[in-house]
Amino acid sequence: MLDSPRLRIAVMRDPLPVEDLRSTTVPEDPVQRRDLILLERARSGDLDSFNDLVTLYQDQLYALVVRMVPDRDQAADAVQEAFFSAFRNLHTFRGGSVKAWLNRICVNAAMDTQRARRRRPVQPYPELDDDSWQPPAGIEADPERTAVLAERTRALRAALATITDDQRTAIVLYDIEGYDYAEIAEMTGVSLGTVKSRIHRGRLALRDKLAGRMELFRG
Amino acid sequence: MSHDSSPTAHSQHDLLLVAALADRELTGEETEQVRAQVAACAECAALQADLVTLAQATRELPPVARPRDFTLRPVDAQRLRPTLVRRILGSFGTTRDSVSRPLAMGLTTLGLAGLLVGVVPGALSLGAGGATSLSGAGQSVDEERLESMRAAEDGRDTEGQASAAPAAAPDASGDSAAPSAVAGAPDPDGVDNGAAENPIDIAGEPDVAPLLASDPSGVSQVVVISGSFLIIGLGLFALRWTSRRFGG
Repeated sequence: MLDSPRLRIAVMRDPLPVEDLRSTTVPEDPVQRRDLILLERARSGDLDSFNDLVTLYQDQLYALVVRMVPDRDQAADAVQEAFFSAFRNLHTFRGGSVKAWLNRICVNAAMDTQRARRRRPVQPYPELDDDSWQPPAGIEADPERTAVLAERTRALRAALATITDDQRTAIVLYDIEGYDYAEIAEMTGVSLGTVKSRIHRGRLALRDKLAGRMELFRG
Repeated sequence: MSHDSSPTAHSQHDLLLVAALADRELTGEETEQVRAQVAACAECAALQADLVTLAQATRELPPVARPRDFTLRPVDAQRLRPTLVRRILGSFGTTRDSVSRPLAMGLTTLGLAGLLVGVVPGALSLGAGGATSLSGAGQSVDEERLESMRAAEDGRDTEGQASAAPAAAPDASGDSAAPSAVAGAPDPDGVDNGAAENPIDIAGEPDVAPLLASDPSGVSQVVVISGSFLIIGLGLFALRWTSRRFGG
């Protein structure tokens, strides 16, 4: 449906029902326009439109959450719960970027999962082995390089799983998602200084965990 | 400052500053100081290089494949459609709700404090037991005071001291002057009434006593009001929790 001519035409031509979107400006970005159209249709009860948004963003959102909650099953549950929450709260969307709105809901769901883990004694996070991913096989790819990259990824993921939830969340949001300190502070409900401290302490902790394997990263 | 590259000196270096330098988070003067430290300490230099490398490696982490499809089924949508109750619940406990939490905390604190004052005997001098005796004692003291005031007025009438009281004085000033007139008046029983000399006692007791007085069932009003505050405060907390859990 996302590639249907009907939606492409809608993205190009449909004037947005601005009064319903609670936004005074129509975004120039065609991606944002497409998202807003889908969201508006979902609001009016079209489940397919909501599922189109899910299809568009579920990979990115799962990739974000699984880094914050390095347990595949718990991360998947958190993402599912986040989409449920988004569907329940379609009416609370106040304009802006749909992707950022979904990101925020997922970060909250991931932090809820982290809190729930802290409240009860659990096993440490299992090592996140992702056999489905392989480094891109270009012309220059050689087996040794591929093996080093895979080992580096495995080591870094394992180290990330052992630092505190707060430090991991801050590092993931800053390094991988590209949020700035102020945005992370707002999303996680702590001060700017705390965010910086968590990132710096988290990096130092990562370096401690990987002290014996830094050669993997220097190559 | 001088920098020693010995391990002992490195253990005294602030590694958070090195981490901040690696993230380019330091201001001009700090940057120069930490750069000098890194230049003089081989371990700090290695740490900075490692931190930069790790940050880069973290940014390049490949995505993890999604284990399942997260699209909603019609039955999920049916279950999740926002009902009126959900919308009302959803308005509590969200980031936009800045009222319910402080209100709940305030009411709960007031309620607990009130219960402490009203229930725990001897916690303050105004406990429930004290309230009963205070109100009883207050009654007899008030009666004595009324009698002494009447006696003072009688004395003034009989001694013909109309000129002492300013005829043009307004009622309010006359009221405020009354205690001092009472205090200065001779006690008809010949007993010095110490309580009457203290205007705070006179003004305070009649206001507080009814609040602390027990009703026939033995429960003071303070306890009832505090209990109500506590219940409402805890109810708000419960509402916030429910809304976060079920409302959205």
